[in-house]
Amino acid sequence: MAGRRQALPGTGSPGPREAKPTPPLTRHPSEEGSFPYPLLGGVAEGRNGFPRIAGWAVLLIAWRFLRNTRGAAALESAIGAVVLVTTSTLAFDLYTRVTATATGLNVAVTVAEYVSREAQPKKSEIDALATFLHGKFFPQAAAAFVVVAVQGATGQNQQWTWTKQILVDSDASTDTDLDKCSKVAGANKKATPPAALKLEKREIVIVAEVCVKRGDEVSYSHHILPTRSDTVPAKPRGSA
Amino acid sequence: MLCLAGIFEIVQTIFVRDLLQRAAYRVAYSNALEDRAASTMEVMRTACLEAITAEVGNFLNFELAESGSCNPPEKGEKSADFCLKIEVKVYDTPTDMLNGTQDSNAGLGGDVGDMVVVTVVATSQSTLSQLQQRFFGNDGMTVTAVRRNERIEAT
Repeated sequence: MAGRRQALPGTGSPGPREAKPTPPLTRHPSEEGSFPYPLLGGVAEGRNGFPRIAGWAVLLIAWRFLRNTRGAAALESAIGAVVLVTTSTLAFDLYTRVTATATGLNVAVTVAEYVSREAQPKKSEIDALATFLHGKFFPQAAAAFVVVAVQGATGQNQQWTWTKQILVDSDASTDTDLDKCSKVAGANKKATPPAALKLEKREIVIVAEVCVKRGDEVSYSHHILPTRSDTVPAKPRGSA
Repeated sequence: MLCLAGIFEIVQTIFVRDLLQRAAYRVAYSNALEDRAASTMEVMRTACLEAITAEVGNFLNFELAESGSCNPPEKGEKSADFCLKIEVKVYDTPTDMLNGTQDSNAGLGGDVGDMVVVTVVATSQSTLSQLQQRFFGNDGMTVTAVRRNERIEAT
Protein backbone atom coordinates (compact mmCIF):
# COMPACT_ATOMS: atom_id res chain seq x y z
CA MET A 1 0.00 0.00 0.00
CA ALA A 2 1.58 3.22 -1.07
CA GLY A 3 2.44 5.77 1.59
CA ARG A 4 2.41 3.30 4.46
CA ARG A 5 5.53 2.35 6.37
CA GLN A 6 6.21 -1.29 6.84
CA ALA A 7 7.50 -2.54 10.21
CA LEU A 8 11.09 -3.63 10.12
CA PRO A 9 11.56 -7.22 11.18
CA GLY A 10 13.05 -7.62 14.66
CA THR A 11 12.71 -4.00 15.71
CA GLY A 12 9.57 -4.59 17.71
CA SER A 13 8.08 -1.44 16.38
CA PRO A 14 4.43 -1.58 15.83
CA GLY A 15 3.14 -2.19 12.48
CA PRO A 16 0.94 0.02 10.55
CA ARG A 17 -2.15 1.05 12.38
CA GLU A 18 -5.09 -0.78 11.17
CA ALA A 19 -8.37 1.05 11.30
CA LYS A 20 -10.45 -0.48 14.02
CA PRO A 21 -13.78 -1.59 12.82
CA THR A 22 -16.51 0.67 14.08
CA PRO A 23 -18.75 -1.22 16.42
CA PRO A 24 -22.28 -1.44 15.28
CA LEU A 25 -24.67 1.05 16.79
CA THR A 26 -26.47 -0.67 19.59
CA ARG A 27 -28.95 0.52 22.14
CA HIS A 28 -27.81 1.19 25.66
CA PRO A 29 -28.17 -1.81 27.95
CA SER A 30 -30.63 0.10 30.07
CA GLU A 31 -32.77 0.54 27.04
CA GLU A 32 -32.58 -3.05 26.08
CA GLY A 33 -34.39 -4.18 29.17
CA SER A 34 -31.61 -6.52 30.24
CA PHE A 35 -29.77 -6.07 33.47
CA PRO A 36 -26.22 -4.89 32.70
CA TYR A 37 -24.51 -7.14 35.20
CA PRO A 38 -25.50 -10.66 34.37
CA LEU A 39 -23.03 -12.14 36.89
CA LEU A 40 -24.82 -10.35 39.70
CA GLY A 41 -28.15 -11.24 38.36
CA GLY A 42 -27.90 -14.61 36.86
CA VAL A 43 -31.58 -14.71 36.38
CA ALA A 44 -33.19 -16.07 33.37
CA GLU A 45 -34.88 -13.44 31.36
CA GLY A 46 -38.52 -13.58 30.64
CA ARG A 47 -40.34 -12.03 27.75
CA ASN A 48 -38.89 -8.82 26.39
CA GLY A 49 -35.79 -9.26 28.48
CA PHE A 50 -37.45 -8.67 31.85
CA PRO A 51 -36.24 -10.87 34.68
CA ARG A 52 -38.71 -13.22 36.20
CA ILE A 53 -38.07 -12.27 39.80
CA ALA A 54 -39.99 -9.25 41.08
CA GLY A 55 -37.07 -7.90 43.16
CA TRP A 56 -34.90 -7.75 40.14
CA ALA A 57 -37.65 -6.04 38.27
CA VAL A 58 -37.61 -3.20 40.76
CA LEU A 59 -33.85 -2.89 40.45
CA LEU A 60 -34.15 -2.96 36.73
CA ILE A 61 -36.72 -0.19 36.69
CA ALA A 62 -34.58 1.90 39.04
CA TRP A 63 -31.52 1.28 36.92
CA ARG A 64 -33.38 2.29 33.79
CA PHE A 65 -34.62 5.44 35.49
CA LEU A 66 -31.12 6.41 36.59
CA ARG A 67 -29.56 5.74 33.23
CA ASN A 68 -32.25 7.32 31.13
CA THR A 69 -31.57 10.92 30.24
CA ARG A 70 -34.61 11.49 28.13
CA GLY A 71 -36.98 14.08 29.62
CA ALA A 72 -34.28 15.56 31.85
CA ALA A 73 -35.33 19.09 30.95
CA ALA A 74 -38.89 18.43 32.02
CA LEU A 75 -37.74 16.93 35.29
CA GLU A 76 -35.40 19.82 36.00
CA SER A 77 -38.17 22.27 35.23
CA ALA A 78 -40.53 20.48 37.57
CA ILE A 79 -37.99 20.42 40.41
CA GLY A 80 -37.00 24.02 39.70
CA ALA A 81 -40.62 25.14 39.75
CA VAL A 82 -41.12 23.54 43.15
CA VAL A 83 -38.02 25.30 44.47
CA LEU A 84 -39.14 28.64 43.04
CA VAL A 85 -42.66 28.40 44.41
CA THR A 86 -41.37 27.34 47.83
CA THR A 87 -38.84 30.15 47.95
CA SER A 88 -41.39 32.72 46.85
CA THR A 89 -43.87 31.53 49.46
CA LEU A 90 -41.25 31.65 52.20
CA ALA A 91 -40.09 35.11 51.12
CA PHE A 92 -43.63 36.48 51.08
CA ASP A 93 -44.30 34.90 54.47
CA LEU A 94 -41.13 36.48 55.83
CA TYR A 95 -42.17 39.85 54.41
CA THR A 96 -45.65 39.53 55.94
CA ARG A 97 -44.28 38.66 59.35
CA VAL A 98 -41.71 41.44 59.42
CA THR A 99 -44.25 43.98 58.22
CA ALA A 100 -46.88 42.83 60.70
CA THR A 101 -44.45 43.11 63.59
CA ALA A 102 -43.22 46.56 62.57
CA THR A 103 -46.72 47.87 61.88
CA GLY A 104 -48.06 46.40 65.11
CA LEU A 105 -45.38 48.14 67.13
CA ASN A 106 -45.98 51.42 65.35
CA VAL A 107 -49.72 51.21 65.86
CA ALA A 108 -49.30 50.36 69.55
CA VAL A 109 -47.09 53.41 70.02
CA THR A 110 -49.66 55.65 68.35
CA VAL A 111 -52.58 54.36 70.42
CA ALA A 112 -50.63 54.51 73.68
CA GLU A 113 -49.45 58.00 72.92
CA TYR A 114 -52.93 59.23 72.07
CA VAL A 115 -54.56 57.82 75.21
CA SER A 116 -51.75 58.83 77.52
CA ARG A 117 -52.19 62.43 76.44
CA GLU A 118 -55.93 62.57 76.94
CA ALA A 119 -57.35 63.21 80.38
CA GLN A 120 -60.78 62.09 79.27
CA PRO A 121 -60.40 59.96 76.15
CA LYS A 122 -63.57 59.46 74.19
CA LYS A 123 -64.65 55.99 73.22
CA SER A 124 -65.69 56.92 69.71
CA GLU A 125 -62.37 58.67 69.04
CA ILE A 126 -60.34 55.68 70.15
CA ASP A 127 -62.53 53.48 67.97
CA ALA A 128 -61.94 55.78 65.00
CA LEU A 129 -58.21 55.86 65.65
CA ALA A 130 -58.08 52.06 65.85
CA THR A 131 -60.06 51.71 62.64
CA PHE A 132 -57.81 54.19 60.86
CA LEU A 133 -54.64 52.48 62.06
CA HIS A 134 -56.02 49.09 61.10
CA GLY A 135 -55.79 50.24 57.49
CA LYS A 136 -52.00 50.21 57.79
CA PHE A 137 -51.88 46.45 58.04
CA PHE A 138 -51.14 44.62 54.82
CA PRO A 139 -52.68 42.27 54.00
CA GLN A 140 -55.81 43.18 55.90
CA ALA A 141 -56.70 40.91 58.79
CA ALA A 142 -58.80 40.85 61.91
CA ALA A 143 -57.22 42.82 64.73
CA ALA A 144 -57.78 43.60 68.37
CA PHE A 145 -56.67 46.79 70.10
CA VAL A 146 -56.57 46.69 73.88
CA VAL A 147 -55.88 49.77 75.98
CA VAL A 148 -55.21 49.26 79.67
CA ALA A 149 -54.68 51.91 82.32
CA VAL A 150 -52.80 50.72 85.39
CA GLN A 151 -51.83 52.62 88.49
CA GLY A 152 -49.12 51.54 90.87
CA ALA A 153 -50.19 50.95 94.44
CA THR A 154 -48.62 49.91 97.70
CA GLY A 155 -47.94 46.22 97.99
CA GLN A 156 -47.11 43.70 95.35
CA ASN A 157 -50.00 44.20 92.99
CA GLN A 158 -50.92 47.18 90.93
CA GLN A 159 -54.14 49.00 91.35
CA TRP A 160 -56.49 48.10 88.56
CA THR A 161 -58.08 50.98 86.72
CA TRP A 162 -59.75 50.20 83.40
CA THR A 163 -59.38 48.39 80.12
CA LYS A 164 -60.91 48.86 76.73
CA GLN A 165 -60.86 46.42 73.86
CA ILE A 166 -61.64 47.22 70.24
CA LEU A 167 -62.09 44.52 67.62
CA VAL A 168 -61.72 45.53 63.98
CA ASP A 169 -62.78 43.35 61.06
CA SER A 170 -63.43 40.53 63.46
CA ASP A 171 -66.11 37.91 63.29
CA ALA A 172 -67.20 34.91 65.28
CA SER A 173 -64.32 32.82 64.01
CA THR A 174 -61.66 35.26 65.17
CA ASP A 175 -63.29 36.74 68.25
CA THR A 176 -62.30 33.80 70.41
CA ASP A 177 -58.58 34.18 69.72
CA LEU A 178 -58.55 37.96 69.75
CA ASP A 179 -60.39 38.07 73.07
CA LYS A 180 -57.28 36.51 74.59
CA CYS A 181 -55.05 39.19 73.10
CA SER A 182 -54.27 41.13 76.24
CA LYS A 183 -51.45 39.80 78.39
CA VAL A 184 -51.95 42.55 80.95
CA ALA A 185 -55.68 42.64 81.43
CA GLY A 186 -56.24 38.92 81.52
CA ALA A 187 -58.99 36.91 79.93
CA ASN A 188 -61.92 38.37 81.82
CA LYS A 189 -60.63 41.96 81.66
CA LYS A 190 -61.12 42.28 85.41
CA ALA A 191 -58.28 40.23 86.79
CA THR A 192 -55.50 41.82 88.78
CA PRO A 193 -52.78 42.97 86.41
CA PRO A 194 -49.53 41.06 86.62
CA ALA A 195 -46.97 42.35 89.06
CA ALA A 196 -44.40 42.14 86.29
CA LEU A 197 -45.08 45.77 85.47
CA LYS A 198 -43.41 46.72 88.77
CA LEU A 199 -44.85 50.18 88.90
CA GLU A 200 -43.82 52.71 91.48
CA LYS A 201 -46.35 53.90 94.00
CA ARG A 202 -49.15 55.81 92.29
CA GLU A 203 -47.33 55.63 88.97
CA ILE A 204 -49.77 55.54 86.07
CA VAL A 205 -49.08 53.88 82.74
CA ILE A 206 -51.06 53.23 79.62
CA VAL A 207 -50.49 49.85 77.97
CA ALA A 208 -51.57 49.53 74.34
CA GLU A 209 -51.68 46.00 72.98
CA VAL A 210 -52.30 45.06 69.38
CA CYS A 211 -53.08 41.57 68.10
CA VAL A 212 -53.47 40.66 64.45
CA LYS A 213 -54.82 37.28 63.42
CA ARG A 214 -53.67 35.80 60.11
CA GLY A 215 -54.57 32.23 59.47
CA ASP A 216 -53.96 30.34 62.67
CA GLU A 217 -51.35 32.71 64.01
CA VAL A 218 -51.86 35.78 66.16
CA SER A 219 -49.07 38.35 66.22
CA TYR A 220 -48.75 40.44 69.37
CA SER A 221 -47.26 43.89 69.91
CA HIS A 222 -47.48 46.24 72.85
CA HIS A 223 -46.21 49.58 74.06
CA ILE A 224 -46.21 51.11 77.52
CA LEU A 225 -46.23 54.84 78.15
CA PRO A 226 -46.62 56.88 81.33
CA THR A 227 -49.48 59.32 81.36
CA ARG A 228 -48.72 62.98 80.90
CA SER A 229 -50.65 64.05 83.98
CA ASP A 230 -50.89 62.92 87.58
CA THR A 231 -54.46 61.76 87.28
CA VAL A 232 -55.64 58.48 85.87
CA PRO A 233 -57.31 59.03 82.49
CA ALA A 234 -61.01 58.46 82.75
CA LYS A 235 -62.37 55.30 81.23
CA PRO A 236 -63.28 56.02 77.61
CA ARG A 237 -66.97 56.49 77.24
CA GLY A 238 -69.43 58.54 75.28
CA SER A 239 -69.13 59.86 71.78
CA ALA A 240 -67.46 62.88 70.27
CA MET B 1 -30.27 33.35 40.35
CA LEU B 2 -33.96 34.05 40.08
CA CYS B 3 -34.47 32.95 43.68
CA LEU B 4 -31.61 35.11 44.87
CA ALA B 5 -32.89 38.09 42.91
CA GLY B 6 -36.37 37.62 44.37
CA ILE B 7 -35.07 37.36 47.91
CA PHE B 8 -32.91 40.44 47.37
CA GLU B 9 -35.93 42.40 46.15
CA ILE B 10 -37.99 41.35 49.15
CA VAL B 11 -35.24 42.33 51.56
CA GLN B 12 -34.78 45.63 49.76
CA THR B 13 -38.50 46.35 49.97
CA ILE B 14 -38.53 45.68 53.70
CA PHE B 15 -35.43 47.80 54.09
CA VAL B 16 -36.84 50.76 52.16
CA ARG B 17 -40.19 50.62 53.92
CA ASP B 18 -38.49 50.52 57.29
CA LEU B 19 -36.43 53.51 56.24
CA LEU B 20 -39.53 55.45 55.19
CA GLN B 21 -41.25 54.55 58.44
CA ARG B 22 -38.29 55.80 60.44
CA ALA B 23 -38.20 58.99 58.42
CA ALA B 24 -41.91 59.64 58.97
CA TYR B 25 -41.53 58.90 62.67
CA ARG B 26 -38.56 61.20 62.97
CA VAL B 27 -40.38 64.01 61.18
CA ALA B 28 -43.57 63.57 63.21
CA TYR B 29 -41.85 63.41 66.57
CA SER B 30 -39.06 65.82 65.87
CA ASN B 31 -38.99 69.38 66.97
CA ALA B 32 -40.80 70.19 63.79
CA LEU B 33 -44.15 69.29 65.28
CA GLU B 34 -43.63 69.21 68.99
CA ASP B 35 -41.66 72.18 70.10
CA ARG B 36 -41.98 74.78 67.45
CA ALA B 37 -44.73 77.30 67.32
CA ALA B 38 -44.42 77.67 63.60
CA SER B 39 -43.13 74.64 61.79
CA THR B 40 -42.47 75.15 58.16
CA MET B 41 -42.09 72.58 55.45
CA GLU B 42 -38.45 73.55 55.34
CA VAL B 43 -38.08 72.52 58.98
CA MET B 44 -39.81 69.21 58.27
CA ARG B 45 -37.69 68.72 55.19
CA THR B 46 -34.54 69.26 57.23
CA ALA B 47 -35.77 66.84 59.89
CA CYS B 48 -36.51 64.21 57.26
CA LEU B 49 -33.16 64.74 55.61
CA GLU B 50 -31.39 64.40 58.94
CA ALA B 51 -33.36 61.27 59.76
CA ILE B 52 -32.62 59.48 56.53
CA THR B 53 -29.02 60.58 56.44
CA ALA B 54 -28.51 59.40 59.98
CA GLU B 55 -30.21 56.07 59.41
CA VAL B 56 -29.09 54.81 56.03
CA GLY B 57 -27.77 57.77 54.14
CA ASN B 58 -24.63 55.90 53.32
CA PHE B 59 -26.45 52.97 51.77
CA LEU B 60 -29.27 54.50 49.79
CA ASN B 61 -29.10 57.01 47.00
CA PHE B 62 -32.06 59.34 47.44
CA GLU B 63 -33.23 62.82 46.69
CA LEU B 64 -35.78 64.85 48.61
CA ALA B 65 -38.50 66.36 46.47
CA GLU B 66 -38.91 70.08 46.37
CA SER B 67 -42.28 71.55 45.45
CA GLY B 68 -43.78 68.18 44.70
CA SER B 69 -41.21 66.63 42.44
CA CYS B 70 -37.55 65.82 42.26
CA ASN B 71 -35.25 67.80 40.10
CA PRO B 72 -34.31 66.07 36.86
CA PRO B 73 -30.67 65.02 36.77
CA GLU B 74 -28.33 67.31 34.97
CA LYS B 75 -26.56 66.16 31.89
CA GLY B 76 -23.93 63.59 32.69
CA GLU B 77 -25.29 63.03 36.19
CA LYS B 78 -26.98 59.90 37.37
CA SER B 79 -30.42 60.35 38.85
CA ALA B 80 -31.06 59.26 42.43
CA ASP B 81 -32.51 55.81 43.01
CA PHE B 82 -35.40 57.15 45.06
CA CYS B 83 -37.28 60.41 45.15
CA LEU B 84 -38.83 61.07 48.57
CA LYS B 85 -41.86 63.25 49.18
CA ILE B 86 -43.25 64.36 52.52
CA GLU B 87 -46.97 64.79 53.03
CA VAL B 88 -48.38 66.35 56.18
CA LYS B 89 -52.09 66.34 56.87
CA VAL B 90 -53.78 67.76 59.95
CA TYR B 91 -57.15 66.64 61.29
CA ASP B 92 -59.20 67.93 64.20
CA THR B 93 -60.07 64.50 65.61
CA PRO B 94 -59.43 60.82 64.88
CA THR B 95 -62.96 60.60 63.49
CA ASP B 96 -62.12 63.30 60.97
CA MET B 97 -58.94 61.42 60.19
CA LEU B 98 -60.94 58.29 59.50
CA ASN B 99 -63.42 60.16 57.34
CA GLY B 100 -60.72 62.11 55.53
CA THR B 101 -62.04 65.48 56.63
CA GLN B 102 -59.03 67.69 57.03
CA ASP B 103 -58.67 70.51 59.51
CA SER B 104 -61.13 73.27 58.90
CA ASN B 105 -58.39 75.81 59.47
CA ALA B 106 -56.75 77.14 56.39
CA GLY B 107 -53.53 75.57 55.22
CA LEU B 108 -51.76 73.01 57.34
CA GLY B 109 -52.14 74.73 60.66
CA GLY B 110 -52.71 72.60 63.73
CA ASP B 111 -53.94 73.33 67.24
CA VAL B 112 -53.10 71.38 70.32
CA GLY B 113 -54.83 68.01 70.24
CA ASP B 114 -55.09 67.91 66.47
CA MET B 115 -54.04 64.72 64.76
CA VAL B 116 -51.10 64.98 62.41
CA VAL B 117 -50.42 62.36 59.77
CA VAL B 118 -46.94 62.43 58.30
CA THR B 119 -46.36 60.28 55.24
CA VAL B 120 -43.06 59.85 53.44
CA VAL B 121 -43.56 58.46 49.95
CA ALA B 122 -40.77 57.03 47.81
CA THR B 123 -40.91 56.92 44.05
CA SER B 124 -38.33 55.01 42.13
CA GLN B 125 -36.95 55.57 38.67
CA SER B 126 -36.91 51.84 37.97
CA THR B 127 -40.05 50.39 36.41
CA LEU B 128 -39.53 47.12 38.23
CA SER B 129 -39.18 48.90 41.55
CA GLN B 130 -42.29 50.96 40.81
CA LEU B 131 -44.32 47.82 40.21
CA GLN B 132 -42.86 46.15 43.24
CA GLN B 133 -43.50 49.15 45.47
CA ARG B 134 -46.99 49.58 44.13
CA PHE B 135 -47.77 46.07 45.27
CA PHE B 136 -45.90 46.09 48.57
CA GLY B 137 -46.35 49.76 49.38
CA ASN B 138 -43.89 52.56 49.14
CA ASP B 139 -44.66 54.80 52.04
CA GLY B 140 -44.06 55.17 55.73
CA MET B 141 -46.70 56.83 57.86
CA THR B 142 -46.80 58.05 61.43
CA VAL B 143 -49.76 59.49 63.29
CA THR B 144 -49.18 61.85 66.17
CA ALA B 145 -50.81 64.87 67.71
CA VAL B 146 -49.88 68.43 68.41
CA ARG B 147 -48.77 68.38 71.99
CA ARG B 148 -47.68 71.85 72.94
CA ASN B 149 -50.19 74.55 73.51
CA GLU B 150 -48.93 76.29 70.46
CA ARG B 151 -50.22 76.53 67.01
CA ILE B 152 -48.12 75.08 64.24
CA GLU B 153 -48.11 76.31 60.72
CA ALA B 154 -46.65 74.28 57.91
CA THR B 155 -46.44 76.40 54.84
